[in-house]
Amino acid sequence: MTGGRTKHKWWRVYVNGYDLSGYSRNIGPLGLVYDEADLTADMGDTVKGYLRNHPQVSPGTLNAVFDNTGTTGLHALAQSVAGTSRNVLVAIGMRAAPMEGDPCFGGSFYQSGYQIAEDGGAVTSTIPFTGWAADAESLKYAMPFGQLLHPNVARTSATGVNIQAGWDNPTKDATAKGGYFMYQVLASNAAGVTATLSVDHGISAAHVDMGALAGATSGSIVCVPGVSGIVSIGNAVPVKQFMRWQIAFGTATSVTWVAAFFRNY
Amino acid sequence: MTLAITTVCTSIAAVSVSGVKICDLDNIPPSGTRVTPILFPDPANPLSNFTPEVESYGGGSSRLLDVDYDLNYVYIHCEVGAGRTGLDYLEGCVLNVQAIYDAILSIDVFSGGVDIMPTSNIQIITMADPSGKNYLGCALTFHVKEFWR
Repeated sequence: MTGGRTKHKWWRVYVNGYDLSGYSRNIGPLGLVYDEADLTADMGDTVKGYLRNHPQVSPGTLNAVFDNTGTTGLHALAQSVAGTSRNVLVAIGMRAAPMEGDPCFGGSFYQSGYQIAEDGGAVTSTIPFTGWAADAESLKYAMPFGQLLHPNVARTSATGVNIQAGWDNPTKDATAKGGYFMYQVLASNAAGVTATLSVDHGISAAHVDMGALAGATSGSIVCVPGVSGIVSIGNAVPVKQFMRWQIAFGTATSVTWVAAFFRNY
Repeated sequence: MTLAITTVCTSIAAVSVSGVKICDLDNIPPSGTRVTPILFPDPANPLSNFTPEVESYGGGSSRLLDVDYDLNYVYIHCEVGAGRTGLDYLEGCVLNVQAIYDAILSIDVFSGGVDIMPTSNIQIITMADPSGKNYLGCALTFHVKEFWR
């Protein structure tokens, strides 16, 4: 995790277990916006007064290059607007490809349209997203900004579980308000193989202090491209200061995946 | 952060292009004799279009500042008229320029800057080495963005 500013070219976009970064031109605004409740007392207040109301969370609109590559291409994935909501994860790399601890935005949203158009000679696709899906795993959190738990890297059973040091969160302190875990499987060694993806946390970054964050696990899942999910933990669950990814191999010998944890503050 | 033009030039010199020597600002050859094919910073005009852009409020060192500029390079492939017909090396020259552009475009992370893009027109013409001798080659420009502060 590097500090400072960054550029758009190091963003990555993952949707429902597919890496759409190579097609994406831009996405956003990545928004957390509260409605305003006007509580002005007309006869007493000199200036209008507001309180925040329900928040709206949305990744905005994905503008992408039209491409009809089969199965994994943008058109194949986005042409049908019907169906399930999309698990969207936008990883924001800091002057390099995204790595563990980098900022990210993610959640479960419905795709509300699909448009193909000509733009200055290029053929482009526009994919707007709704706010948070009403039937999603969790409507507990108004916190779509998290940290990347695992970058787009293959892990193999030969190297096994994660024994690396963890990384810190922006507030540099433990929290007790839960959060949610998102995973997206991009590839594996074969169809039908299994693994369990999960979250570790600890009171220090050292391996010896790391342990499983209860509930923040995918469970044993079939690892093929297109598998993704969100697992939320309770709103009052303590989350220790440091975190890292974890994997337990079932029948899989190689899994390429990305994951993020969205800590509630 | 501080301005890092020389660091960017060093990063460019570290790019690997098969068959082409790429020079840093501090090792531009005095002539092209026996060193071609070679790419080196244009000794007469290494830097142009230097454009700072203020990104935030603040004065002095506290404000955020981006800077864009062009680094101008000279590529010389062989002496003008070399070969049996004088055109024998033209294809090799174009292939090397292609390879240089491909290598520059492939840069993701590099020391000094945050983005680099080839921007010049590829025009294979007669280029002079630092001693004034004529070679087959072309002028290449790389546009660089730095987070200055």
